[in-house]
Amino acid sequence: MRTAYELAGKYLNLSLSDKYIRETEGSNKDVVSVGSSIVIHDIYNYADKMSADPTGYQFEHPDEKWMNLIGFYPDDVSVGIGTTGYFVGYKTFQRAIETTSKAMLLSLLDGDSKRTTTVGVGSTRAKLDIFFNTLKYKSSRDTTIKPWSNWNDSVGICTPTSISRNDNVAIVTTTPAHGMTTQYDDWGVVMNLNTGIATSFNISTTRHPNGVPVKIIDANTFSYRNSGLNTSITGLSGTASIQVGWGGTSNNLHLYVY
Amino acid sequence: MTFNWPDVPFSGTKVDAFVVAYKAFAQEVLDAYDTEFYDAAHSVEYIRLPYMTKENVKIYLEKALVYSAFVIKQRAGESGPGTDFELGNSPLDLELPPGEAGSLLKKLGCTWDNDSFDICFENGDNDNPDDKKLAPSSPPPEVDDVADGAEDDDCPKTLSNYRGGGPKATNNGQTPDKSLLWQTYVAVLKSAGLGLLAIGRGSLWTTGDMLGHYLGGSGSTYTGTGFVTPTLGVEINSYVNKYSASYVTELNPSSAARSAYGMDANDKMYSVDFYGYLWLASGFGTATIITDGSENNVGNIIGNISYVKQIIDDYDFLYAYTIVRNSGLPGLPLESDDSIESGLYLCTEQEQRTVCGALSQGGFTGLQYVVRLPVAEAHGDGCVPFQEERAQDTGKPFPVRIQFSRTSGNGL
Repeated sequence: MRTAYELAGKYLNLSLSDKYIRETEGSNKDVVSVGSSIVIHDIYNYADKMSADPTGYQFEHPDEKWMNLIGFYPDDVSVGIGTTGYFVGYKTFQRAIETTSKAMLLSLLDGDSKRTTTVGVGSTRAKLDIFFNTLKYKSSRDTTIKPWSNWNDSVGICTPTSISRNDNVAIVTTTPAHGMTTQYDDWGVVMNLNTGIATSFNISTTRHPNGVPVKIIDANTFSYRNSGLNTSITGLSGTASIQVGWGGTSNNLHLYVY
Repeated sequence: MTFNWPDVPFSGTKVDAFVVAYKAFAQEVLDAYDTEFYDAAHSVEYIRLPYMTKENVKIYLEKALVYSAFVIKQRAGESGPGTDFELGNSPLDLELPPGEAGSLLKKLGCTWDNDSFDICFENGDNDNPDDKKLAPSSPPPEVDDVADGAEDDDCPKTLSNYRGGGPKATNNGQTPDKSLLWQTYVAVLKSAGLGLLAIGRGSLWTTGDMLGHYLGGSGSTYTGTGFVTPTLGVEINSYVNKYSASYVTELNPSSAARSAYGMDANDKMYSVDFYGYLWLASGFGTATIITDGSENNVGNIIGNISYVKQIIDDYDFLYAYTIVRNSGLPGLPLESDDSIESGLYLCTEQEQRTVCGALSQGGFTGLQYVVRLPVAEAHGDGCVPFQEERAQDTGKPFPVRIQFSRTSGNGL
């Protein structure tokens, strides 16, 4: 297997160069320490911490757009690249590993596979159906079985009363309390505000069917990443649907390379 | 195909049970892969691209084990490294072999700041010459967006070019002529197909060539291309033997059919569903093959097929033009009472559909939509009576009859 894939397969992605990840990780460690030897620090987590949708090409390399267009992917990425003259980026490879990991967790674990560690007792056939169902295009899915039968289900609705955006982070205040406990860090939200500029805070369920991750500030306040102009709005009309995903910083796998 | 599992540096009752279940189920996935995709409704093309081959899924399953176990460990609160950067607290250490460490350090070695590390790393693999080549221009955005999985459930309700199909007639001439785009598409398919020839796959090149043949509008019988056909024959031979238990059905041709196809006394005929591999599915769907009959069949169990002599099909579509056979046989020139009509997804007695509507009728989105778009757009919306003089604009279906000689891997 080529070197870039070996590194990606060991979850290396140099994600600590991402300001948000470094801040949410709460660590003062940098990507690299230089002492008597070089130690590289890194963190790995699912790139999409809410969704069960399978990933395709990540378009890291221009070849990938053409390969996606013609529906071509090497038969065996570990040996096919270099012999075919086409390049599949390591991000595509790493995301495919993540999708496969999610498909396995969904197939093997009980219930909706969230928060549980219990291996389910379903038949092998039923688990295979879930596994392949997870990897299918949207139009071909069986929505009566996992994950599409329940993964994107809301676990509650809360009412935002004010919202602000600063440095591409949205802060939402709800009344009454939003109901998310700090016992878990897998919470997410689908914002659905109805009027004016407030709609710029909305989350598209086409792009994010299970919402986006949130960070709980207190019983009535939470934040999420949201690009846009700095602004502050009160007197909101609309709702926020509370979702549950894979998990946040608790799933950060800390890596050393030396 | 056996797994090469990495070590899992986490332990505990829950993690251990999960790892055992993971490995056992991963084997079930691989074992099932060859029988999971067997007809048009269960085609491998409904799986997203990176997961369309068993070989890649095996690699992903291996690489996903450690992180999946880590998620379980964190949920269960069990022991093991990977939860912080404190040296004394057992982080997950990766000691890279010299090659990988050298490559990583080379990437990191451009400039000693974080942003440059990232750029160096993300620019690709320094030991990959392909990574540094001149980047091709991007596909047209409208196609690229759809290929990327964009799914639009809202097809136009109104037929825009009922007065006549073809790319130049689309939307009464208001939209660009896309024939050049689809010619480019054909060229890209064949270019990529050339690369795959080297690893024993002729199906991608042939699919591109047949698409070009359709859009060219000659309608003549497609007999393959000399330098690709031997590879295609070996590929088809390999496919039918791999999937003979599931996707290959022996047929009992009439004496007239045997004569028409030039079958020898011992030759056998089979129907094959090619939906287990994307480009065979795209080129042939379900097709007929003729073998030399040396295989030893026992009841419905088909023996090892040594030599595939012919593949026979009609290259036509439910969402473009289709060949309606009355007295003619697939793969042979059309008889006088055979006809070419708009496919059932576009045109029924009760309803006519747009190109988008016809493809949606088939449940095609994303990549599946794109690979079908050239022929559907060439046809245009709704019922469009086939006109020979417009075949270069609208495309024309044709018989496929490719005959294979014995070559290494197919009969020798």
